Order: sequence, then structure tokens, then C-alpha cells
Amino acid sequence: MGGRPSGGGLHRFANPGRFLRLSARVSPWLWAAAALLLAVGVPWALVFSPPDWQQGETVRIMYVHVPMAWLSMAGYVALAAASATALIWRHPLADLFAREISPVGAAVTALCLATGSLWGRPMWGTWWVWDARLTSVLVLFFLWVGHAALVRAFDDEERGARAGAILAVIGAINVPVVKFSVDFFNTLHQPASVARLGGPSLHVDILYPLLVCAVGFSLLFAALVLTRTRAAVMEKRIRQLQLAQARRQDAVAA
Amino acid sequence: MTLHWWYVAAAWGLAGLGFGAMLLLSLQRLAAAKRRLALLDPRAGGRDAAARGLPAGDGLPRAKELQG
Repeated sequence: MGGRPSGGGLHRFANPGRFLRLSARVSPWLWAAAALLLAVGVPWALVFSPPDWQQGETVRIMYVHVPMAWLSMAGYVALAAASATALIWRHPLADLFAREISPVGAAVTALCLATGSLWGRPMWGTWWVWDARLTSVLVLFFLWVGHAALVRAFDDEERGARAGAILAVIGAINVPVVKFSVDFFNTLHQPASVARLGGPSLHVDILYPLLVCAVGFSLLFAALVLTRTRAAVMEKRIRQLQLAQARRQDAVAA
Repeated sequence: MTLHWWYVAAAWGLAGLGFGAMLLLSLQRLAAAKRRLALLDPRAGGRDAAARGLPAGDGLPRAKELQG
């Protein structure tokens, strides 16, 4: 087997220099693709897609609410995967990625809850109910916020990252609870309309703009996380340089 | 504008504000990091490299450094 760790393939990307070079090339394309898709998707969702026969114009909230819901779960899976990678293989970029994705994930989950509430008020007659779907998404939000706070709560960054990674991995159990809560429990929230065994139940006039918005927001999410991770790698380098500079000055003074 | 449109506007407005703020903060942070890195790195080519989003030439941070 040799001395090579089983995560050797991943360690090719553990070199922050390689990450910065690669991400510098990918980043503009991500921003451009996100801008293009949202430039198509947002007018399509708000103007050109038809109103729902039951919900009327309120259905247009779906085009922002559903992508936020998908991103809050998919983002958490990415956080848990990065945390597991950091715990098992001590991948240094995985820690930085986890640290940078959690505030964005928390914001997206907050948007999911807020837009859901704004959709629920005219459709259900209430802003909030303690049903399984809404409650499990609220727990997901607390997990995101908890992770973001925990990794920043320690003077020793490594300890904070480790504590955050453990929380993220344990918290991943909530993702299937969110996904299947509408199937296992009797909820006011409707069951899945797109990601379901029998295929999407939405008409294409609604499904296509939804998919365009979902991909657009996903690319925007990825671009944001990538930009934050790039900044974090550079900030780490800056701290090292400042430390080296201070040591040199101390040596000269002595 | 009907009441339903107000809910739609509020939902999309919140998303726009949220993503707009994150976008602005992220880009500002990256620009500040690039600037500070270019000023700090004493090695040749540091400024040019940082301007392209890279720390100086061969002085790229290594995995071991990040772990430390």
C-alpha cells in the first residue's frame, strides 16, 4: 500500500497554491454562468411564466423558495462531506471550505424559511406551523448557524475546525429527515413535486423556469463560497507573512 | 398591485438583498486580501501575482502551512 494516504487523490487539491490557480480560472466562469442563468430565469419566473390556476401570482415565490430549500440541503451535504474529509484526511482546504460555506448556508436557509413563510401566509393563512418539514428546516438553520459560530469560537482555529466538523457530520442526520419529513409525517407542507420517484408533477411552463432559477442560484452559491474560500486562503497567508515579519523585527531589535 | 404580488415582491426582495449583500461582502473581502497580500509579500513578482489573485510566485501557501 505504501505510505500514501487513501485520500491521496484529494490531497492533490490540498495544495492551496494549486487551489488558488485553479479557482482563479474557474471563478469568472462561475460568476458569468450564474449571472446569465439568473438573467434568464428571474424574468421568466416573475413575468413570462403563467400564474397557477389555484395559487394565482403567489406561485412565483416558488421560484426562489424551492432553490433556497434545495441549496440549504445540498449545501449541508457539501459541508458534512468537507467536514468528514477534514476529520479523516486532515485536508487543510476542507476546513477552510467548511468555515466559509456555513455563513452562506445559514443565509440561504434563512431565506428558505422567510420566503416559505411569505408563501404560507396567503396560501395556508398562517406564517408558521410546527409541522415536521418546517421544524426540521428550522433545525437545519440552527445547525448552519451553530457551525458558523462554533468554528469561530476558539482561539485555536484547529480546535474550532475540529469541533465544527464533528457537529456538521452528526448534524447530517437531519438532511434525510428534512427530505422525507413530508412523506413520513402528516404535514401542512406539500410533498415533493420535482424530485420524486414518479417524475416531476409540475407542468413544463412552471418546471423549466424553476430549474433555470435553481441552477442559477446554485452557481451563485458556488461562486460565493469559492470567492470566500479564496479570500480565506489569502488571509491565512497574510497572517503567516505578518508573523514572519514580526519575528524578523524582534530578531533585529534583539 | 394585488396583495399576492406584495408577498411575491417581499420574497424576491429579501433574496435579492441577501445575495446582494453576500456578493458585495465577498468581493470586498477578496479584493482586500489581494491588496494586503501584494503589500506584504516581499518576494519578486508578488504584486503581479497578487493582482491576478495569486500569492507570490513560489511563495504560495503550502498545505503544511495551512495546517499550522
